[in-house]
Amino acid sequence: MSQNERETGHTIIWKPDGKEMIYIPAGSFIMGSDESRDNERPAHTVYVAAFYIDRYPVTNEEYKRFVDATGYPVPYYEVEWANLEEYNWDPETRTPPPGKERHPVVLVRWEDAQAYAAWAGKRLPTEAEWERAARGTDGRRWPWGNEFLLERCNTRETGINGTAPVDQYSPQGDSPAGVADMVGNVWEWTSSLFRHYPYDPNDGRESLKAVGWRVLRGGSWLNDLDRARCTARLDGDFLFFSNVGFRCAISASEVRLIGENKSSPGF
Amino acid sequence: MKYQCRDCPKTIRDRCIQESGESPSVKTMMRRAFEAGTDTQWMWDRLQMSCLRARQDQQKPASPRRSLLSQRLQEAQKRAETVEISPPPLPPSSLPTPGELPDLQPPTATRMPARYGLILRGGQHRVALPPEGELVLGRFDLATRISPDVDLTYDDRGNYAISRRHARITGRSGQYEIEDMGSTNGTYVNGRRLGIGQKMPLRLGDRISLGNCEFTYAILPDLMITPGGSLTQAYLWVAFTGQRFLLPSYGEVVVGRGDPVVGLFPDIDLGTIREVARVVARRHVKIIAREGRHYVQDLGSADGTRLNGVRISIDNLQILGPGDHLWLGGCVLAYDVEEALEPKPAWTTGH
Repeated sequence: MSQNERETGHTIIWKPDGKEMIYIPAGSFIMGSDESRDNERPAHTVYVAAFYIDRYPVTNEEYKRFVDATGYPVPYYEVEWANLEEYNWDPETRTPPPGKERHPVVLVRWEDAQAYAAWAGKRLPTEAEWERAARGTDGRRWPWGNEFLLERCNTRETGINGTAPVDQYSPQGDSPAGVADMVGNVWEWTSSLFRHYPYDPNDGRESLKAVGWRVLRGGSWLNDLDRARCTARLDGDFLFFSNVGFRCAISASEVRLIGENKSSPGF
Repeated sequence: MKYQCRDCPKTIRDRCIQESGESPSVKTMMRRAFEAGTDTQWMWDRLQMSCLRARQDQQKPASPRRSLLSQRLQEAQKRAETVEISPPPLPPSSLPTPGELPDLQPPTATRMPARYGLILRGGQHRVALPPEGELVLGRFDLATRISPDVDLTYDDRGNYAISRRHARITGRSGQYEIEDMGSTNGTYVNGRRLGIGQKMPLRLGDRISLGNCEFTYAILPDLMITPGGSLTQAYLWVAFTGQRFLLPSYGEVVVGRGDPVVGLFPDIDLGTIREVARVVARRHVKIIAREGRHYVQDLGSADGTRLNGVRISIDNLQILGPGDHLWLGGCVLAYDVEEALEPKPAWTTGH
């Protein structure tokens, strides 16, 4: 990916959870796609205010810091209808499955993601923010361009058949703004309700209290490359799954910068 | 289907009560309820097996035939009859007590095995449960064209409250358990939400809620069709769209996806339904109607056919009963019957 394709932004370290976050400037972008599934049509322009978004999804070791600090229940379920052995935490020691510390945390419900975000002083990205961060402004199919390339993300075609460390495909799989692991690996919870396009942030779909299915974005290790496109949407009509995780975001207006990043372009 | 006792001629009713296997006190109670016109759904549920027998004995016996088809039909019939399910005795606490406490006994073994299932409140179909194995309830996924065994899309229409994989019912020798499959809106049994991993055994009369769909766990009636005068009309109901295709009471009907390119148009053409067409084979199953019953045969489709969650093989005919669900590669059809809008056959008059 050439340098001039990268957007100019800056990164910060978010103090409460130590995660790197990338600044996405305010502006319009092309959301959706006319060439794909019905729920992605039509392609239309959406304006998003400036925000910061986690560079990587929340990992098991980061989620562990959260559960240790708050006593929140760990991701652990005993069910017959899915094989969760590889991803279940140990309920007694409250630790993630060994070897998966740098993998994205899974078996988390939308409510769990909200709880982590609240503890960290952040929130989940809206669907529009997520797509803006993944796609940039030029309407590309995948974060790196319009052609799918195998070594850029973790989908079914990759053959791992499970989660991978969040930085494994960086920087080759990064979006124009430098956000990593947006597609493949795990679906990510957003805060928006699953509704038809065009995306209207004022029609109630961004309400956190409303009842309905929340949108998942980004494809996963279990799904094929078509679901890993920047515009692919999934209605979250289940509580949790072994290929669903999340990352956090925060509006730029809520951020008070300290230290070296005090003066930054456009802020 | 509404219970039929109120419209039933007296001789049939009396015979029905007599053969029901209930204790004398229950029989008296039922007779009194009939006469007073206060008979109930509860009574129908307990009497329907003997009701069927009483009505079927009114029919002329079928003449024997020797074709391969009739041989397969007999085998299918026999298979259905030899499935051994003896319903467990009903716990007294779950039944209403009309006046005197009835002395409860399990119904006697019948020629038609008892079939358990779910009756949807205000719905156009019932859901039969397989004696063994699991049945997944949920909705058809437009994006992947994957459907669970029971598709509740049309029943849920407008509510968006039922998940693609919502609940699972597993059966072992006539005992059933339900569990929630991690759905967002949950599965409720008698008003209580099931926890993740919690398996709740079902008892007759239990109310199960998935989203806005309310089911009652009950014994499903078997068919009541008399040859030479149909009391009931059988149909296939497309679970995704709510469309109905009426089934004839005699003959064969091919169900599949019409294809103008090769000039193939099955009798029931699911190709007209855009969303499900792609998963159905051009000639997917054949429904054979004989002597008041319907049988299904898979015609060698690539994705196969499942009956109540169980894959059926190509050479076997399977008998169909009310509430049976056919999964055709992803398109779910429910088989059910309802009262035909025709004058009643001759044998019911003159009593």
